[in-house]
Amino acid sequence: MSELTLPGSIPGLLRRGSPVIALVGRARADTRGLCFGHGLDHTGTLIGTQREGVVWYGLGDVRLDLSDLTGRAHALLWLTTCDVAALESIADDMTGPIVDALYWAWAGWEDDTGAPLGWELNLWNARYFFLNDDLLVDLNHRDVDTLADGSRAVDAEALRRIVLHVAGREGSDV
Amino acid sequence: MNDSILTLPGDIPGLLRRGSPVVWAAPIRPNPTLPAHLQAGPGRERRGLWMPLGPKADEGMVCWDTWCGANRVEEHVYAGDLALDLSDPTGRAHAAWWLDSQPRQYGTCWSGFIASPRPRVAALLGSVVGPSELFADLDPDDLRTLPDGSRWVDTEALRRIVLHVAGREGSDV
Repeated sequence: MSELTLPGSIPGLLRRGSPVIALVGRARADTRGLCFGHGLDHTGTLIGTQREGVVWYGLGDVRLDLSDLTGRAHALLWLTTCDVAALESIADDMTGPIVDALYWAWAGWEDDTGAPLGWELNLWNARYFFLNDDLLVDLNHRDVDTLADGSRAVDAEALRRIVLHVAGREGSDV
Repeated sequence: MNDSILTLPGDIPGLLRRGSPVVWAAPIRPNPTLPAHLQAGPGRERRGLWMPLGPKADEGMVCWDTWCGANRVEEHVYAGDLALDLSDPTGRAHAAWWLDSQPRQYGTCWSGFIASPRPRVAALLGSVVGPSELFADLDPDDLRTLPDGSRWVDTEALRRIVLHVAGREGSDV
């Protein structure tokens, strides 16, 4: 499974309070911090770390940390602002726009033999079905690996892939 | 409506998380290490982000949204001196997740209805969540919004539920 991060350079992804991983610069590699806000030209952001205080980074040098629940909420909040058509392009069915990011859950679909059919993203007011989608087809919704906070790693990975796809950044390393 | 009261006490155990948006809730208390223009006081609401120190998280660092020369101001702060800022969507998420971590007092999914579509939230709160007196003076059709476009009444309902579940009704922050 890929590293559970998203590029900080996706416009609008990082918010005030976003947990981030700084890749280069004054901080050491893999330094975790918080996003405090962007510059007026939206090319850089202020990252606060306990070791180094608040440091300015280019958006290409930081990644949103999806191993943190707040990071996953901010990724989902970003989906609320994205072009719905981009989501429709990968969702086989959807019942409404994402309006909030406080509650969500993934569910897996299987056929009678237990073979995976697809994924379902449940939000309070909406459902998105990703059936036999190449994007998620290799993910096993029965995978029980968990993150440090007890959440399922495979759910975070599914969210990561969807955001990358909608942002047009699949295969992107920044 | 006064959105300055849309906060929750920072010393509710487990409420503040890494990255929580916070406001300075302590009484006016001079801090000799800060210049005068950064001191807390009426009309000088200070907002920042919480970075807990250690797993207990009753103390941490706050980086304030204010500048001192070219530098942001960071301070070692106790959680009890802070309040969670519910005018920020991240603050509302952290409040909802705290609620979700509590024993179900009314047999329902806290975080689910809190995140529900806007027109339905307050009505659901009144009918599903228990003590109706908590929300008796809230109008589900109140359309006033916060600066980010969210409905004020939803956030106020969330604030009241958390205070109720935490046993902190009447709290002054």
